[in-house]
Order: sequence, then C-alpha cells, then structure tokens
Amino acid sequence: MQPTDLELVERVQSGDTEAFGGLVRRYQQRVYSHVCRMTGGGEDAADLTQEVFVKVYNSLNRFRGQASFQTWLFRVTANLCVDRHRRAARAPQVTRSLDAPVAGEDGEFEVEAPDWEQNPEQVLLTAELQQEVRSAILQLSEKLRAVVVMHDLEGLSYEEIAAALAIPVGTVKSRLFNARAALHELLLPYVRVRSAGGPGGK
Amino acid sequence: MRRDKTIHAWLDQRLSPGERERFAERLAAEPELAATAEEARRVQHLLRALPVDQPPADLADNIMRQIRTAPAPMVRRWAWWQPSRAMMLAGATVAVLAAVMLVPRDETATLAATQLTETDRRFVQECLRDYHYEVSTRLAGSGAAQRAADATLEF
Repeated sequence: MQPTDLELVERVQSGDTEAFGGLVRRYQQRVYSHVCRMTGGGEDAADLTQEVFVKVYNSLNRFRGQASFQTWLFRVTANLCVDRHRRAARAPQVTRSLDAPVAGEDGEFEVEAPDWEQNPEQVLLTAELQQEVRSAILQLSEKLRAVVVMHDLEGLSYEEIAAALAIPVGTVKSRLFNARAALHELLLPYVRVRSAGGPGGK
Repeated sequence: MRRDKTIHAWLDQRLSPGERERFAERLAAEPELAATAEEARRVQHLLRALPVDQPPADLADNIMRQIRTAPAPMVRRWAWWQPSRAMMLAGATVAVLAAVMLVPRDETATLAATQLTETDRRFVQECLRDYHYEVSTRLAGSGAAQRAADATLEF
C-alpha cells in the first residue's frame, strides 16, 4: 500500500531524506505541467520545477498538515511562477495577434479551426492549434492564468484553488469567469458557431 | 452575451436541477445564447485537450541529487526534559519562588495568606512536591535541583 503524502512528509521531517523522492515522483508531472502552462514551457520549466521541490523540501519543517500537501505544493509553485513571470516581464517580449498568420518552415500559413461538426470530445488539436491555445493562455494576466490553468486544465476545485492561492472562493469564481471570457475572445476564430444566416465560420 | 455567468455555472455543472432545466429552456428559445454557450464549451474543450507536458526523464534524479546536499528539514519538537531546557525550567522555578519569598510581608499579605483555605494550601503543596520530584529525578545531583528542593521545602 502506497504511503500517504502526510506519512512521507513525516518521514522526511524525521530525517529520512529519501522519503522525499516518493513525493517528487508523485507530483513532478503535475508541477512540471503547471509550470509549463504558466510560463510557456521551454528549458526553464525543468529548472523551475526543480526550484519548487527544493524550496518545498527546505521549508518542510514548517509544514504542519493544516492544508493538504498538494495544496501547499501548488501554493509554492504558483508563487515561484509569479516570481519568474515578474523577472521575465523585465525582459522585452514579443507578442503576436492570434489573427496573424503563423510562420512555418515553408513560409506562413493560417491555423485551421477544428472540425466541430464531429463529436467535440473527439476533436484533436493540431500542433499549430495547440500553440495558439497556449499563446492565448499566456496572454492572460498571471492572476487569471493561474486560476484557469488550475481549474480548466488541471481539474482543481474552486476550494482547492482558493487554498492554494490564498484567496476567497468568490475571487476564484470571478477570476475564472474573466479568464474564460478573455479566452473566448482570443480563441473565437477557432470556436465560432456558424449561425444559420450569419457570416460566422469554423 | 459572452459574460453571462450562467453559462459558466452550466459548463462546470454547478446548476441545480431546476436551474439547469430553466437554462435548457433559454438555450432552446435564444439562438444567440445557445451559440455563445456552445462556443464557451468549445473553448473549454480546447483547454482540456491540450496534452500534458512530460517532465524530462532525469528530473526526479536531479531534484534528489540536489536535495541530498541540503540539510535535512527535521522538525524539532519542544521537549522539556532536554538538559538545557530542564535547567532553564528549574532556574525559572527557583527565581519565582525566591521572588515570592523576598517580597516584604505586610499585614495585607499576611491577611491574604491566612485567607487561603486548608484545601488550597494542600493543593499548592502537592503541585510543588510533584514538580520538585520531576525536576530532581531528571537533574539528580545538580545545584539547581537542590535549590529548587530547598525552596519547595521552605515554602
């Protein structure tokens, strides 16, 4: 039977350093994925994930189990992502309109919208469309991005997000609402519903 | 229209059965709302369909390599029986008892002391005796323990 998070934490707190490996293996994918979605990925994502776990380890003697380990881990991850974002914000950034053509190896091409006429659950994202969605997420403010990533991409509940970000549940709801409204605008070319007589399109 | 909060509650399946029924009626009657709701659902699908990023295969090893060089984050639980803390405790007890004994006894204080019932007096003495026993068994032979014992007996 797998030890619980709390059991592993207590073992680390008792001096069993190797028990931390169990927590790393259990959560490395979620933390890495969250970092990629918050920062846009790249080589820094692995470094930042490593930084998250080292920070968690170094402050594990202050963990008292009042919140779940996962919530605490997400809080550290979110804080480090914000720090990284602020550092990166000082460097000049290049942003691109979603309507602009994407440059490919053979020149520029338009990103095709998915075929929504088939079962939407079976709609697959082309690599280019994935890039468009990631780009749209990165255009959100860090506050909105954190909430929509945690809820819509990682499946955390309102309450878990509130605990991880140390904000009220009502704030989670309003940020999620605003984030979705912004994403709706940004991704409209790919999700537009064709109206019977209107000009819409896929 | 894209800012209709009911659409998001509907997407998250957080509407009550009654609310869901009323919203379904609205969707059927309002094509524009239905189109917006469908677009919102597609946006959510695009987000959920993003593949999960896989960490590098050596990430966990790299983390643990770094962890092993850091000091262990052991939790130090407060233990009164640790020698240094027990000494501090004994010293503090002696100081309190000495302060009580050195305070000039005026008539008021004498009167207050005589107002203690026999039960109160016995209770205080039992507490001090128990405490003295604990300290002296932990610090047998130390000067602090002897002073605590003397003070207790004198009291």
